[in-house]
Amino acid sequence: MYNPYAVGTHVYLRHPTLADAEGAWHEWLSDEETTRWLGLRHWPNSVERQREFYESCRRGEDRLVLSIVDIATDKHIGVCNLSGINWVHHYCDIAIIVGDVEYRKGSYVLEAFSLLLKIAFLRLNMRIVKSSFSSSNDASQAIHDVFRFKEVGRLPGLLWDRGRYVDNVIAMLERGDWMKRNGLAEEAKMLES
Amino acid sequence: MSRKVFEIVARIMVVPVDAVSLESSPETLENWDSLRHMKLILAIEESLDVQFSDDDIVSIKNVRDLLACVEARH
Repeated sequence: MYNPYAVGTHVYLRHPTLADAEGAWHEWLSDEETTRWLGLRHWPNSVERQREFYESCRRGEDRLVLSIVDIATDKHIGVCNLSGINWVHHYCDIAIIVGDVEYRKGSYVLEAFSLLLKIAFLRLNMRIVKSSFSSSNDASQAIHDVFRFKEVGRLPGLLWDRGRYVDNVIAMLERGDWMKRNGLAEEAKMLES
Repeated sequence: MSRKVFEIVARIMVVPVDAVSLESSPETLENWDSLRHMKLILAIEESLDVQFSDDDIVSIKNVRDLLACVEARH
């Protein structure tokens, strides 16, 4: 493992490297299937644009971008981030992409998502993690359901998806609920008092 | 309990119950992709009235793991 920031059983998360930016990462963000659900990625990507993004990741404290790496092979398989981090109100947005199709089977995405939630709530002291996704994205709906995000609203017909407008679903997970479900009920009670 | 779990796995993975074993996993069942994996977790929680922790969820690699989590939480 190189410079691990959070370690799971099969994947670990680390700061992106220039090699990541110049590797498969930039191609994932040109792929039609991978970018189908991303709000701002409908233009072809390039190594140059990915390098710029990589440089921007090294600055500022309102966004944490992490590479997802397979422990067994040390292969960069995806990227995840906490963005819009608000250090006053302690909330942020969560997003994840497993770019390498070979790793979309099984639980790699669940493990990376779980590590990222743990970082948000326990290391960065976030109170709320929120998310928004297309109502036609079954995988996004399922992962938010699995981790007990609550749907808190919808922007009807906001997003264009292959010939039709679909809703933008807004969901959030509160730290207290997350802690209670993960054996930290006492700590959650102390935070509430 | 194991019979119920096998039936839910079979329903979500769209295979006969006889095709499900403790060793069934994404490697052995072609239909077991990441979306069905998540739907399986949700179906088990709802049908058997259990709630998994995040550690449980990421530990489930096959039916044996799933059954162990269910039995530990039931």
